[in-house]
Amino acid sequence: MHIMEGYLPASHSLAWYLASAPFVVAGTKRVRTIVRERPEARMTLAASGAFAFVLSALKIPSVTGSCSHPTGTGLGAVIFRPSVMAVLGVIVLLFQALLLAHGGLTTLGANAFSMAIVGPWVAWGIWRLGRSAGLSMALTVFLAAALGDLSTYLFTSFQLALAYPDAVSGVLGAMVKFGGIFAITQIPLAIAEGLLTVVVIDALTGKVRDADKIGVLAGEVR
Amino acid sequence: MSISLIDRAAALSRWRRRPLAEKVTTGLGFLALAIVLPPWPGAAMVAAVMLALTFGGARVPFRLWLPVTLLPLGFLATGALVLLVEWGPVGLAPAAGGVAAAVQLVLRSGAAVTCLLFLAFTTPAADLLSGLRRVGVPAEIVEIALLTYRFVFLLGDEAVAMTTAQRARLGHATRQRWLRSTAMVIANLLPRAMDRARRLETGLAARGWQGEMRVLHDRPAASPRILGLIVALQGAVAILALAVAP
Amino acid sequence: MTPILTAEDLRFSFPGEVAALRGLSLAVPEGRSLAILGPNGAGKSTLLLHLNGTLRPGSGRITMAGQPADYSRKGLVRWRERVALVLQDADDQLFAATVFEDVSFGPLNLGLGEPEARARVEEALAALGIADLRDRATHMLSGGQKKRVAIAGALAMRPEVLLLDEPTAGLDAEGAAQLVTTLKTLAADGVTLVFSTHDVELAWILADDVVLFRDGQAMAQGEATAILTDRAMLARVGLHPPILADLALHARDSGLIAPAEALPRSREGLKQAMAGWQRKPGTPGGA
Repeated sequence: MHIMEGYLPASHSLAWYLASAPFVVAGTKRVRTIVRERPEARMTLAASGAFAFVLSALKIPSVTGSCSHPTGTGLGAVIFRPSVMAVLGVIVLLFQALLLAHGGLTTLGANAFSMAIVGPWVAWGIWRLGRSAGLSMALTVFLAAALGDLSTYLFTSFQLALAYPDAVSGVLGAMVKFGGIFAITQIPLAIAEGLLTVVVIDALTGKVRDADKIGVLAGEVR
Repeated sequence: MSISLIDRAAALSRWRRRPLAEKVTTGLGFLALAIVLPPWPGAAMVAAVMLALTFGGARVPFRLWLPVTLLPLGFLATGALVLLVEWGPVGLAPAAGGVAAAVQLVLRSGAAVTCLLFLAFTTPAADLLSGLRRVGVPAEIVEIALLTYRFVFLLGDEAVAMTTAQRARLGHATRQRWLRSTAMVIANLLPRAMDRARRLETGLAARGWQGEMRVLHDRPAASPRILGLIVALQGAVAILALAVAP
Repeated sequence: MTPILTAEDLRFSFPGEVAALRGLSLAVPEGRSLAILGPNGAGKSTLLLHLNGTLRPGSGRITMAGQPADYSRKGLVRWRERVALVLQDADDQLFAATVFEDVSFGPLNLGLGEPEARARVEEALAALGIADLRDRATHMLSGGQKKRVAIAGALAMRPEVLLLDEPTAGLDAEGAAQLVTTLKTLAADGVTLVFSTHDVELAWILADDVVLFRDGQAMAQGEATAILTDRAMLARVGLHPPILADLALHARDSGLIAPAEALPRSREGLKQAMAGWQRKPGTPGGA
């Protein structure tokens, strides 16, 4: 869920830029190391970024009947690592702002934090947890993608609430307001995205044994 | 909305060949003013200047510009609505001062969107990205971003072709089939993206690529006089807005 | 004359696939235009990738100007400076945002300074007649324009040999005709051309020499006029003579073109030859 251009006050915009910076800088270091070792990784990383962008422009039907757009956050976090996703995420967010007027430049820091940092880390964490707990592949992928999406949406609501706290009930009350109004689109989207990611990973990996599936994907991409 | 709508308009813009520094100073400078100045009259003044430059100066076609604004306007409408109510012990109630807050928000965001769209409609994203090099973003990251830009349109075309083919075979007839069809597009698109990447690697190797991606730019230099004028205009808007602000 | 490039008994297969090259030998004569003619999927692209060092043969060897190929980092740079390759799909080679930027990539990779690189770009754009496209975004070009930009990118490296994979594939009739004219100009300027094609017509109007290629091997190499008029040999690789050649051959068989006379290689040439033929009695017009 992108926060639009100019929606946050200047101080919040700046603060979220500063909050995202360490993650993006760390990701940049990682990407530079990868590219130094394998120059051709530029192409695969760029193709993956473009893939995520095109994904976000595809329409999917959500459960309530309205249309939504997949975010690819979970898929990306599982295939790459969250650190690399921070960099790719910022690049994709920049293109979404400039080519689609989706999100914005002043809100890039805030959007990067919720979509390129919180979402991927949550998805990746759940993915690792689920795998070590011995959950089935499909369930783990579903949970990682759906909860990655949900965490992004909750975090965005938190960012909005922080900027516009409720006069009576404060940040928490504002979060209920923002969360409530966006829940109508975001919860069905998270479920749709979870299902979608399961089908995608299944189709991508074909008949490979469960344990090897991500290995196959990683071989494709890393 | 098509991926290439804004990009195409930017490439064909009357101000495409204007120096990058002029457009960036204008767009980002006013964007900063839009969110820093008091929304009334600051943001309103910024919006007025940006609309004048967008339609009077750069002659951005209004019929292309308008549909692009609809998406942020939808978000803005929802977001402003939230400010009108408060969440108290008795549940939702009209917020005191909610209308003023909502108006301020609409002014500020609206002004900021005019700045973003000015930049997006006059300057191809690739020009802006190569400008990042000059403000210290590492070369590798800019290269990846530029390659991403290149791949976006190649993959976008492939995704459109696949979706059209599915639709022709009723792949979107029911919601369930739609979800499945979209998943198939995505699943097919990722290997294709990787294949594109590999093929470009071969193609560039044939052109003597050794790991660095340098190209020459063919761009006009910014004139200090015009840059000075832009900054002076921004200063004037800021002073006037602060003087008039209630 | 020594060939500028030779391939001797090349063998190559992609991992897990059937062999693409199976003992291929050929020679590229300097300053001429060579067509590598064969059906799709015969391994022509793989061969071209060997001729500029992008792929290394499993066995066999390649020589350049009589010297064995040098696959060291420096050797490859020198090689690609002399032998440029234009792939079939221009989108596999264009990567920069604008035409000007893209064409400058090759010269900068050669380590040229900015003024020299700039001059090379201008020269290449002019040679392809695309100076007016310099600021255009690469992803907004037509197929024919993309192809020209890709060739300009190769030409800006001032290669001695230009390898082209299916140069007219995907172009409309006008785009293809324009490209043929441009390639003929380049050939006249002394650039050695090697192009792969499945199109006998293209080979007939553009090639001095032809290699018949099938199943990873060169079935025959010789002058285009000899190979492309040899019906039996063409049939062995599943091809027919070009229409123009077929008509001209028929005219020669019917005594309308003298056996010693060169066969016309273009529509215009054939029309000129026909001008001398006997008019049937009873038809209107004529002297």
